Amino acid sequence: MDAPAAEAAACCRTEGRIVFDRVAHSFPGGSGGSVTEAVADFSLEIEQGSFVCLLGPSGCGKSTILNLAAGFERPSGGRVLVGGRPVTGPGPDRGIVFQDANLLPWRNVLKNITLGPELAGRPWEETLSAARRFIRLTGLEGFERHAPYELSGGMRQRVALARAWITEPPFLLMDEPFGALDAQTRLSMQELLTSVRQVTGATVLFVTHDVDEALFLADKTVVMTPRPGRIRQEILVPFPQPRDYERLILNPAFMELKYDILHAIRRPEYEI
Amino acid sequence: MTKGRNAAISLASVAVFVFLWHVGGRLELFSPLLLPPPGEIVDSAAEMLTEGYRQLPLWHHVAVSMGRVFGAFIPAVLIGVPMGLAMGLFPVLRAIMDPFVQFFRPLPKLALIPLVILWLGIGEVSKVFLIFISALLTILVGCAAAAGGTDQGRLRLGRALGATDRQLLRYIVFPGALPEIFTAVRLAVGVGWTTLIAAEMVAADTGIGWMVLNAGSYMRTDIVMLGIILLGLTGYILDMVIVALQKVVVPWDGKS
Ligand SMILES: Nc1ncnc2c1ncn2[C@@H]1O[C@H](COP(=O)(O)OP(=O)(O)OP(=O)(O)O)[C@@H](O)[C@H]1O
Ligand SMILES: [Mg+2]
Repeated sequence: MDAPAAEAAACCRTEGRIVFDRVAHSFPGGSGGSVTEAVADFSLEIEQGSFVCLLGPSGCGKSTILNLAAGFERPSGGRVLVGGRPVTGPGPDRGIVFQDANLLPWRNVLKNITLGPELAGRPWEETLSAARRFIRLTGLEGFERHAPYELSGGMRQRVALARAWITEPPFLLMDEPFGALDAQTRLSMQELLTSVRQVTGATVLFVTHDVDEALFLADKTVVMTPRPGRIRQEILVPFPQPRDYERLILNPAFMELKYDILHAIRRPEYEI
Repeated sequence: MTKGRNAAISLASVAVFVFLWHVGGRLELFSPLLLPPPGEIVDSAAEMLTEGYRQLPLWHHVAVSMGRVFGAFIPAVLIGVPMGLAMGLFPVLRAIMDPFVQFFRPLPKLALIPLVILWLGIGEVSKVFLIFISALLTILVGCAAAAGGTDQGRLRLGRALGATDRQLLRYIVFPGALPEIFTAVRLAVGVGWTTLIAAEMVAADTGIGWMVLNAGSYMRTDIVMLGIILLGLTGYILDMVIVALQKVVVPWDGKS
């Protein structure tokens, strides 16, 4: 293969990837004055179309990593590449879902879902048919005209998911999106996410505290050390997609992986 | 249910107060010259509705005062809301404006009267100007706080969905600030209405504020009381109108 062709091939492989290259990030100190080193020397490559779960003790810098990929923060060291390009700010190529649904209270369910296409100036007919599709997928039919305050927590989160999905972004960044939901609702959200992924095929970076959730959803789990967060362990999750939760949790291999991950998260620093 | 009950309690409370006032007057517990009983005020109101005060009918005084307040208030909202929001969004603009806003806002506007008369004369302009300044300052401060306090999560959401600066303002900042804008406008009505009395002290010969002051100098306490009741009721009604408008424009306010 000649040089330009090799370069072209390399380019196309990077198209759907998220790359953290020796990323460091510190926050300026508050009134105390000392800086907080949130993450240090963090390197990770997420392949196109894969689903990576980020795990680690509270305060280890998971949200910081996600915010760096989202472009809400600039790294104080290293590079963050999304789709082969350095991140310079937030953009509609990356769908974001937070723990809090963050719906706009002055817009009804339908108008919250269509916010992205509206901002992009898409024709309304096209937007509406896409919205209908995601309203159906998220089981929100009949609630299009409801105000956010008339919805349950799980329904609000489904609206937030539909809002992120409607533009079919190649990347999804999710920060404990189901963390505030009860166990049943969380499971049905996870199943929803799995089934929609079969359709849209985005590259996903997903932060969670819940090891079961990570093992149900992820192709790969990444465990971080306590602050300043670096990567302690990357663990491939070998179970074929899509997975069946009830079967999965009875699988002895699942139990073993869960044990390994829990141990990796809880292991104190000096044991590395 | 409880809402209707509370309204009934409020009405009853006013009725009991008026009744005690009436009884007190009948029993001559206080001098009718200093505190005229309610019946007398009603009589003067009826008299003034037919004959007017100083050759001008009562409704004319009310209309003149309302005209002054609205003449000041509408430009104060039109200028104050966008300017206040801009102050909240652009720290440089805020830094430029803040010293003046913070200096004049707590300043009693009565102190400005001599200057305003010298600059703008004793006509309508100086009265409207005083009310305008009071309302404007209140609106500026409220709207700057509203825009500056936009929820970071919402801003991030807008950015992540690809909003431009202008779109952020229109889709996120402005609608999110509306409840606080209403609060600022409500406060400004109160302040403007208060300043009305001060403004009508500036060599006026019409208006409820003037009527109260003028009647006081002739010991017509019944007319003074009538004017006070009119001022209070009108302010109350204005406030209710704004609250009703707020319920229509931002029905989601206060519901999480
Ligand atoms: N805006 C900020 N200013 C200063 N320090 C911050 C800021 N955001 C985060 N930090 C600090 O950076 C560290 C990592 O925070 P981060 O939110 O990334 O943790 P996390 O892994 O997401 O935690 P959790 O699991 O509790 O959500 C924490 O020590 C936190 O105090
Ligand atoms: Mg976090």
